[in-house]
Amino acid sequence: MAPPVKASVVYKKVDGILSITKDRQLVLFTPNVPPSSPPTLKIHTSEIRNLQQTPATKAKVSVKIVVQPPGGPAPENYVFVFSSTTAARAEAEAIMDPLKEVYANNLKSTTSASTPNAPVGSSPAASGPLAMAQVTASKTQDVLSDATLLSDFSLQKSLLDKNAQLHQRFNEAFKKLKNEADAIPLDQFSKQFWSPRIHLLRAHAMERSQTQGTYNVFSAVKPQRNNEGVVTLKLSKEQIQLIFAQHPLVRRIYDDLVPNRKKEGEFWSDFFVSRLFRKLKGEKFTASDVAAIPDLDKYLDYNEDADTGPLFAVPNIPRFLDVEGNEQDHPETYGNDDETQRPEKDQGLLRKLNTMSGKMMANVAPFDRSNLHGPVGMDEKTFDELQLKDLQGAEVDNRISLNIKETHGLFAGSSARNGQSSTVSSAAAMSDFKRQLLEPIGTPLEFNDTSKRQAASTSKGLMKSIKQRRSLLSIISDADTGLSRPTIDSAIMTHNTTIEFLHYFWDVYLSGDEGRTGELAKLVETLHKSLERIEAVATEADTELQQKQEDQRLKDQEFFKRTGKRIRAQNDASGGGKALHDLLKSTEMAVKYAETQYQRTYQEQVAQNGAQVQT
Amino acid sequence: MDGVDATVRGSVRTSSAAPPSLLTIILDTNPLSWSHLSSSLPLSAVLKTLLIFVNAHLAINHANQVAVLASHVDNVAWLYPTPDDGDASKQSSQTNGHTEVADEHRVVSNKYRPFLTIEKNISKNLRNLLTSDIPSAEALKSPPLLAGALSIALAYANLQLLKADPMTSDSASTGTGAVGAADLDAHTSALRTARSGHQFVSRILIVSVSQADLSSQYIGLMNSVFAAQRLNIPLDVLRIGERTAFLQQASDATSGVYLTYDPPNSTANGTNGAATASFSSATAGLLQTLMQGYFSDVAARKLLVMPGSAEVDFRAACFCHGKIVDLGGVCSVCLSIFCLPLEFTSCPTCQSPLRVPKSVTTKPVAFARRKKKKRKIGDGGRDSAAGTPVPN
Ligand SMILES: [Zn+2]
Ligand SMILES: [Zn+2]
Repeated sequence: MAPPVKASVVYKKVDGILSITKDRQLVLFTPNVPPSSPPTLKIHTSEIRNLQQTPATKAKVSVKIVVQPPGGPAPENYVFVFSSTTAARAEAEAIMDPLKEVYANNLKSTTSASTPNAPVGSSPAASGPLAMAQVTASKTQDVLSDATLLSDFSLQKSLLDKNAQLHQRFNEAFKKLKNEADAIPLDQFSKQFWSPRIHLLRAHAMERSQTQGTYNVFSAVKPQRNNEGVVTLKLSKEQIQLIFAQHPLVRRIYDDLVPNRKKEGEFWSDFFVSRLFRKLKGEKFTASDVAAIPDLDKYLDYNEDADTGPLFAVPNIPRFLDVEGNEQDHPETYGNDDETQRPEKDQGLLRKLNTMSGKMMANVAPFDRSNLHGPVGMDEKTFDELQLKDLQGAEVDNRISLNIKETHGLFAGSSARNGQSSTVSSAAAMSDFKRQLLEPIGTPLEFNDTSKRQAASTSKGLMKSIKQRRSLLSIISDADTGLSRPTIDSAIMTHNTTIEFLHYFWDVYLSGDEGRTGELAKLVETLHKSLERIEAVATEADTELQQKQEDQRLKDQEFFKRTGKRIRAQNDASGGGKALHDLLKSTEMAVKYAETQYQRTYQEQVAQNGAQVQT
Repeated sequence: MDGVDATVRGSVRTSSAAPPSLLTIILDTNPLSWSHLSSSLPLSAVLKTLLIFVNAHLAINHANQVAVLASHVDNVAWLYPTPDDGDASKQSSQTNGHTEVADEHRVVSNKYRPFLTIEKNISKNLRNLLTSDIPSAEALKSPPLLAGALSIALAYANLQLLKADPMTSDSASTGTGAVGAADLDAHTSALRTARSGHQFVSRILIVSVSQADLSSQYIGLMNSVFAAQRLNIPLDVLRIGERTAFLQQASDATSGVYLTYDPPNSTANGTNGAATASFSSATAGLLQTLMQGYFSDVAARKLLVMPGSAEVDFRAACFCHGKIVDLGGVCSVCLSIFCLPLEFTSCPTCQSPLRVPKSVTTKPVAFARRKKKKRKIGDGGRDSAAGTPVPN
């Protein structure tokens, strides 16, 4: 955001300063006499209807601003004469440039909006950051729309670069498709690939739009001692800028001392070992800890925050947040030990860090706040929430009630109620139940051999199910399938691409878009090829199995030659194409289902169309 | 047994003491169903078996707790702890505690007192079920009040969870007055402990016997399942008789154990005494199932592979016709299920307006029809005969 613009002007024969607020909402005229008087004139930039400026050739520089206040009878004119003896022209430019921009924006918004007097923001009170937030919000929405995301190739590429797994999947699918005889065009493929993953793109776009804020620079600068005991200090240009921005005092001292009394390097090396540095950082120190550096130490008593003023000009601090209030009212309540509850007393780390955070936050345009001058994050609602409520009663239940209608009647027949029923009369059942209940339950259970057998067989059943579940939990291993690792890998890859194509297929198929039938037909072809691909891997697995069996046979033979004994043939027939088909059974089923669906719809629609042609 | 261990060795808990564990049992006490089972596995035998199971649970850790609920015909009754008891909460919070037992109980001198307390309580409260009004024939046939029983069990488990963690219970009782928020905080924090530290673990075992359609309690049941998920409480289901898809799904959703137990049919139809002996086989199987299938608590289950069917029947029946559906619509407010195409514009259960996404209603197109315009011009035939146009 632009720094506040200021210029010396004469308005209605009064000397003063013409300035534009940071948020470009207001043009202010502040008379020079009496000193620090409030602005006598405020012009809402949103109400500017015309701007005039003396031509560059003339010596006298003046500016005329025509303003139409909302509901005002006639436009009002304000004429400012720039009075600076040295830089009147430059100051006039500095004032006019931002105003021209704002004015141009006004024109745009008034032409688009039907009410010519509508201010730029949603309400006259809306301040710059909010207005800006609104603009960015609407922009963000555009940026995050499906269409934009799908066409933003650089975003997609950046996401692929970041997500290796996704990248691999993209490449696999793309490669497969490219190998087809008549390949699907790249843009079509990319759309198919991304449309089910639009949420990933959106998240990535959000992530990319985030930037890192400033940080407490002092904590990042650390002198380092190398092996020879020489202390070196690395300070980047950005860090120096940050130090100046975060600690104006340092900038002042720097201006005072460099280069007249100290050299640049000397200044910094002195500064980082000085008491002043410790103080600014909020560290505690004693005079004996840190060597004196008179040039810097004289600034020790200077209150850094004094000239910046309070960070947040709050007219009145809510009583319950007011630490100073504690001090005045009941200092004894808080004891003398708790520094955090004492204003001004604590010059330590806590306070410094707080101030630091405040400064850093002050430079961030808030996104969620309409009142620039309110305390941070403090709107009416927040304030309400922060209020002490320990003596209040329970809050009214604000749940949304759901009115449920008995769905029972909806069922065709409520036959499936309590099944085992009709044979026993309820009276008989009750007496039976009563008899069972009245039997004492404290007596021990007695078991015989039959019951032990029953227990054993139950246990066996349970163990079986445990083992079955364990096999589901463990990942596919070569041992279980008899397939080699490379074969399993290529099976997994084939599975992945097939599922990918299934996604595309259903996406297009269910779109009901007649214009995409061509695309759909191609996808069906691709899907069909997926089956062939699975078959290819299966063939590979068969070859592998044969090889394995052959190896085993040779080994056996050799063993026989060597020892004259035969090993009992290990009929190891696991693995091979069958094992692979088992592995990909559900994948194949899914493809076949998709194909059947497509064929049926296709036949139906061809028939329908044929009928239509004949009529 | 060495095939069963699914442990990653590194993840073994570091704290030496096992966390206290609450076992809540919901026993379906529908008289009709038990009468039906009387020839193979009578209620008394089941109760005896459950008591052994409960005692084992109490014996394994002195801090363990037990609660037993009866999901009866038209009400849900506490079997243990007895709520009317002045110090019911005391009794439950120190389950193994040393509450004074009435004089008559002292007779059984060789029984561990906490076991005896539970036994007497359950026995007494079960009999109370009989003294209440005799339910009508229609009521007997209605499904058990499982949703209600689950809600009570979950509320109780939650209470115990809060009691076990003074930090969260403190914030809940002295909270800012916003009940909902405090509750949520407590939940979240309880959840956190449940996930990380395991201060207190809880599980619910439903012993289900009724062959009943639970659809009228669908919303309550679904909410209970979600609550259980959130509190990290597995819903174990022991189904005696035919399987029920819904309970299996509920159990699966909360990582509980679902097992069906089919009691072997007793051959003896003799006198009471003879029958009791012959039930021992069915009872032994039941006991084995309970001890082997349900004994481990949440903390232990992390290290074990639990039994249960490998396949869960995830299909659901639509609310409109009771048909099993492959692809259906679900009301996003009350989770009612409907078959497609949808016959209503608003949900028949909760009256929320229903909007079906475009992809469901659009008819798939596999073959592009000729444009009507073209037919007017008269060159349409050529186009359609070529079949599906292929863009280049
Ligand atoms: Zn239906
Ligand atoms: Zn609904």
